[in-house]
Amino acid sequence: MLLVKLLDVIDIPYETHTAVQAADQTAKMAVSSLGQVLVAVIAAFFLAAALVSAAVYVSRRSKKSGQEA
Amino acid sequence: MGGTKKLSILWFFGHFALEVVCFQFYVKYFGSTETAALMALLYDILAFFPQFFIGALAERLERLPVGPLGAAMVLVGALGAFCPAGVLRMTGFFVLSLGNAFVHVGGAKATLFTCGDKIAPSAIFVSGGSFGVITGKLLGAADSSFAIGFAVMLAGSAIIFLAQRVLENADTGYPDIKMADKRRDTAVVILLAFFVVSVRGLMSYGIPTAWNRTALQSFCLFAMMGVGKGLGGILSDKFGAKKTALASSLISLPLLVAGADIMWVSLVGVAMFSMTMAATLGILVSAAPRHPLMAYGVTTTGLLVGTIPAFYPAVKRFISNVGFLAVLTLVCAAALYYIMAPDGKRAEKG
Repeated sequence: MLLVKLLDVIDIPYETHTAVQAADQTAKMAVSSLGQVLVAVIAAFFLAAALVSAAVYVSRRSKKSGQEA
Repeated sequence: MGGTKKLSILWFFGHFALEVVCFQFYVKYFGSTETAALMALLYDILAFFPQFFIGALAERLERLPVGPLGAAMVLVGALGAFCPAGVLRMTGFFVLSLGNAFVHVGGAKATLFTCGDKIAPSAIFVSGGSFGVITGKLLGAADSSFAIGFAVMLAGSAIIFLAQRVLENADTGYPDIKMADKRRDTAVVILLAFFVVSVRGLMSYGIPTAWNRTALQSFCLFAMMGVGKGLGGILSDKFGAKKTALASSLISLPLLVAGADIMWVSLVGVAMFSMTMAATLGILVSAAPRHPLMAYGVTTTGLLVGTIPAFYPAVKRFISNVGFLAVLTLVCAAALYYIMAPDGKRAEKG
């Protein structure tokens, strides 16, 4: 967007202008999907950690109750 | 050791089902998107890299049912495929990738802690993956319903749970594999074995296969990788690991080079080339006999390291060079010769 505004100021021909807008759009799409990927990786880590913690807790409890028995 | 054969067969199918669902998920939903390469790289990192740490956890918490836990994670993650495209689906895919790592460690635990001095059970378990990878890829590429992959993994989970029951009733103990030459420094053995595994990962992308154009040919290629891995373990137990590893890597070289355009020559080469898998796993397990699961994790980390360069197009072009592949194969054969204990005599000291 900044580039487009800059081009407005220095009056670059229309074709070049739209090409820059398209490039801007592509970059935005790439950034947004990268953002989604990062959010998903973090969410997956938390979900996996919760599952693993639950399994570790259950296995420790079963070991303890086995020893008591 | 009781139950070994049953466990290796059960885990062959468990591993097969796992790879079917993972690869169908990836190819169907991310294979042709703008983030395809990134998702593949993240999948490799999440599925391969944590295995070392999960192995350490599973060794510490002996009662942790690591295989069934992984299967449950994979099923939870696979549900993401039924969500609309976006963060939820990606989260599911990454949970599935992490579950994949747990399932692998589960298979390694079941086979390595019941194998005694044999490497074949682990090799048979590992070989199931190659068949699953290509089945999943083909299902994804054909845009088949994801319900197929999910159903396969449901069946796979039942098998993995059954395998857990078998493991609980089996005779277990640390593996007694002695493939590493005890005269060599353990760190050198581990580093060189890691290098050989990385080269195998790298070469699986670099092997010239101009003939590979149809679904059936791709299936044959992956099937021969699986056959080679399993056969490598069986032959290592029968004739000696050193003989098998050296002969297979040296024989594979001319076959791979000459087979760029001839399918059958190439397929035999691919099978021979995959046979070294059993040797590298055996070497690492015998270098760290009280930490077999961490040793298994070293092999998958090595595979990841070998895979990463292939994500760069310039590097991929370079590694597809036949001369480069030939030199790497010879270096690996020399490394294996140096770090492996002589067959029959095996460990000299310690």
